[in-house]
Amino acid sequence: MTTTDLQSQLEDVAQSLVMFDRNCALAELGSVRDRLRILAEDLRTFGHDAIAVAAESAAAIAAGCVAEGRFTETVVEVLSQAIDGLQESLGDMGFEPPAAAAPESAAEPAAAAPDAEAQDAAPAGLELSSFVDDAIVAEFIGRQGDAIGDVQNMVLGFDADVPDDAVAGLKRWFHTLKGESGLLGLDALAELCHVAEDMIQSESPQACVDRLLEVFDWMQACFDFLAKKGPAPVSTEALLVRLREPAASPSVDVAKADDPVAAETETETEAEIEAESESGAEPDVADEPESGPEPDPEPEPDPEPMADAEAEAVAVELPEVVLPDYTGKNLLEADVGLLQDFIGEATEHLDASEAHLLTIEADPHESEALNAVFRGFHTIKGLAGFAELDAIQELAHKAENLLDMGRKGDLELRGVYMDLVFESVDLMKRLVEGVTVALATTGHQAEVPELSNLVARLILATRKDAVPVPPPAAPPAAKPTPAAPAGKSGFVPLGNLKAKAAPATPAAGKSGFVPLANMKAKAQPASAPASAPAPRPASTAEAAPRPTSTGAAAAAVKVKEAVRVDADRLDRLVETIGELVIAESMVSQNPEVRQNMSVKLAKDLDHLDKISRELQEIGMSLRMVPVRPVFQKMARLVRDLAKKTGRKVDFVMSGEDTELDKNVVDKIGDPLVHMVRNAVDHGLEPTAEERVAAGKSDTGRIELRAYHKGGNICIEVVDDGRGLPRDKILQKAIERGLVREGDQLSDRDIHNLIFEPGFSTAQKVTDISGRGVGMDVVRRNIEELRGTCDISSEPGRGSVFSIKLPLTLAIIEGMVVSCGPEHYIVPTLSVVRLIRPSAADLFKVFDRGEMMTLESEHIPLFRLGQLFGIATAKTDPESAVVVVVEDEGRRIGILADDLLGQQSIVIKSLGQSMQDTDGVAGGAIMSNGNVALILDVAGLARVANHTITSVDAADAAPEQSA
Amino acid sequence: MSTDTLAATLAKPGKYLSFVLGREEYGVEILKVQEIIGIMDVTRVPRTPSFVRGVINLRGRVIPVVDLRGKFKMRAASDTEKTCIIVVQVTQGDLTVTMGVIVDEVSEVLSFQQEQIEAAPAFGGGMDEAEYIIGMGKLGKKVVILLDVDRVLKGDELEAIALTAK
Repeated sequence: MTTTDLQSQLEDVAQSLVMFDRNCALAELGSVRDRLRILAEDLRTFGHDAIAVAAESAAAIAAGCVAEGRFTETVVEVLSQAIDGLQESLGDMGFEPPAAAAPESAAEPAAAAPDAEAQDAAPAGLELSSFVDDAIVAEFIGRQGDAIGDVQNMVLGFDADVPDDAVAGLKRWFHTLKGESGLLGLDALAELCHVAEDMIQSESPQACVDRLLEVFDWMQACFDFLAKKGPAPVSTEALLVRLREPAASPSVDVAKADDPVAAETETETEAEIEAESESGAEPDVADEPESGPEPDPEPEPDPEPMADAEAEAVAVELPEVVLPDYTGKNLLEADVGLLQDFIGEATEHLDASEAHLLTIEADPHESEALNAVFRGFHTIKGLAGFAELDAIQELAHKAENLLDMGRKGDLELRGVYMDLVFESVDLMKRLVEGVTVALATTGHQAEVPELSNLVARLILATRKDAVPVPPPAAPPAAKPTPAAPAGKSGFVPLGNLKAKAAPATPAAGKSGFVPLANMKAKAQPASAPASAPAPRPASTAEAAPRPTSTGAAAAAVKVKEAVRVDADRLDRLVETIGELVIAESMVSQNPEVRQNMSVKLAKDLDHLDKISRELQEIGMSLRMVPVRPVFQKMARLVRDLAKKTGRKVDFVMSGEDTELDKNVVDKIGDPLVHMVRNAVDHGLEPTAEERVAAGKSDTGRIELRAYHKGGNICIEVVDDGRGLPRDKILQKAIERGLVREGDQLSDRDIHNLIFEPGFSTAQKVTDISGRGVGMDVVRRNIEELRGTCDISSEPGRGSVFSIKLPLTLAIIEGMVVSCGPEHYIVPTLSVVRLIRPSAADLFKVFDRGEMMTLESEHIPLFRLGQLFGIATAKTDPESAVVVVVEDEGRRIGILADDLLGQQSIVIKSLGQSMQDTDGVAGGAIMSNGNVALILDVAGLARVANHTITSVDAADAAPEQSA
Repeated sequence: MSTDTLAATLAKPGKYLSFVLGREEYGVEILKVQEIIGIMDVTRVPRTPSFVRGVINLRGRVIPVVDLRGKFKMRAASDTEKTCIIVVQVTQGDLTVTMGVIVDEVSEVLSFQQEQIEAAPAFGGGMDEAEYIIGMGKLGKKVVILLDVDRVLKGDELEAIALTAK
């Protein structure tokens, strides 16, 4: 027998593998096993022991499957890969001794196979090679995961302008990634990179933006999967098809509409999808026709108008509701990270809402709780919209409508209405759970039959009141049993039936195709490293440069080394450093040390001081992270919103390297989403014509910037739209009784009115914004972070929303003042000025309420010593200092003995039992090791008023003149 | 054994840290004690009950310190060299809170058997503080008053007083 004979034998095996059909798979597999065994024996007789071992192990895999009576596509693939390796080795045999290739490529499947069998769900092409070290993978994921963000950002910029080096950089990055993933055995990823490379090569960068974004989404999901943080991503097949075919026109919408794949999506019945999800235990139902990841190009079916019309026509009947098709969407093809964020936040909001609802039930006039529920739903709506969970968005929107009526006092939330709200919360919870389940399994949300019914009832409830019908009339209509929507529930079993009838067919045709495609892709990476010693001509362009390109391209994409550390450990380290610094200053300030200070000791202490200070700075910087990831999310948001609203928007960001405390960065996302939404939806003119008429370019401009300013971080959202409608806001505020007619308000005061809960001048509530919740969310979240927000606006020119945040949550700048023996700290942020008062500026009202004149303004003056009962405090104001502080626009003076200086201090909690002490916000450890108290300005004012009124009869004079 | 209801549970046998307040010796379960430190500068916190001496810096953590003499309505005494802060871990609800208690003097660790512990005597209604006593430990002629430190430093009580002080 010659080598040629062996090769033809192999060919046969390969062919039977390719022809594999699920139905007769086991018999086929048995014959493959037998043939492989024969082959192995033949090889041994010829002395090709190494290859024989490979063939034997392949046979063993096949045998294992036959014995177990089941197999997966992965196994088929692994086998074809092994046979491929054998073919290669046999081919090389004429020129060289059997290379290491065979054993290696065979060892790989041998190791991969049990693995694949163990976790059926591992998608093809994503098993790591067995020789790959975990640490390498972790490093790879960490580095490339970060890089994706940068690259994605670059691609988002393509809409405007494509610099040459950017495209080159993009290609380099894909190329490196391809090389590295090939090395790690992530063939699906490598293939995707390869196709993406081709696409960039052949098409204009602008045309590929959308598809590139999909690619990034998939990669992100893939990295999450590898990092064991997320479920397995779906097959790339559909994505690859779209990458390969050139876009018909640069406009994506048109391209998608022409796309037969997309068209099929629309017509596909639910039943079929259910069939897929029922039968498809593994997510790689390869060319599933409904191509989920593409951002839905069609304007979302808005069921509202239709449903409303129905409701009017049939007054008592439930309106027909057309819900967005949420069961058909494969969530695994969407942005999985985003969805996971959504689940977390939504659950949190729902739990909080439930608690608030119970309060409302007890007291329907509890407006604070109602506002809170409302805000919760609003945020969920926003997030759901962002995550493209249309059904949840829809439900949230309708529930919000009802709550809004309750908030405005149009209807009282009790009885049926209350039940409706509770039901909405429950159903919402189920929907969110559905998303969780979908992510963990097939990617398809389960059908929630009650949904349409509930939405219908919600619409009805809000309708009913618009047409004044006494509320008691509503209950019978609004409370049908959940089983009512027969149309829907009748539909489901049918789908299930079909699914069960034909579980095997969907994948049958494909199984032959997939391995073939993968086999080709795999042949190169598998063999290249093995046959490296041979002077093999660089037949595969992409395989050859791999080792070198890794380094070269790594330099092109910015690489940041990072070690992930447990946050608790980090906190402990920072705390310990703080102690070290204090201990250091205690030693160097010690009088005994100071007395006997030699030059040498002084020098050494200086050195120690320098080091410990440096250490402290490093400690502080450990928690600091750039705001970049949050900004990048915004870039995506603007893009999506612009598409949705049909506006042209230019998004510019700057200062994304500005660093903030990790906690702050985590919490700032929510308010930023609202601010950016607002800027796009309200700030910018609705139509390009309007912009042109106002003498501006037809493309709106939204700018997001971050920068340092005096120990704070400023983040601004700037738009060049219409500006805030000053008169409208004022009029609305008067209507709502927030201000009185004739009140003297500065522009700034008026602009800040929009932060009031429920304040909106929008005539129409859209699903993006308009209810006046967003800005309330912004203010609350920012205040939680001890920041402030502000608006400036110029009619016709645009507005600037700015947030000012402290650098970190743990450290504040404070002024240290003394009062008797005690030291207190006043947060510098609230200090307006410091003055040494002259007797002429001071006067008393009724001999009690002390006042002082500050630039022709009269402010109340409180003595710290008196408030805190410090007997030894100075009594003569002229020898003391007045710290003028501002809180919510009110100024008060605090009389303290002396100013000792300013320093940054670490805030420490006083512990549970003393947390609520009025006038004290916390403690700080001073350089002598003692604790100083941080004054809480707002609380102090309360204490002060209380003290004065309780000492004597009511005396409100100070407040009034303030 | 008395069935007096004032002390809910009788002290368990085991090791107790004994300390002196005035002329009497008291004991707290050793497992509650984290450490003992000498008296140091205590930062007074305004508007808190008088028995709360203030807060101290315990290696970077700010913890409240309670003056046991004040808590038990005993005559105040000035700090001496022997005055100590016993840092204890008390359970408040499901939380463990670190607090300091100021005592005149820390003496020793004592071991009590079951038969050496007697129920707290009944004082009638005149003394609320009796509820903190979980038993009397006897060692020869010496009598040690055993305290339930969790109850002594009950958080809601401190808070309640803090609120009324407003």
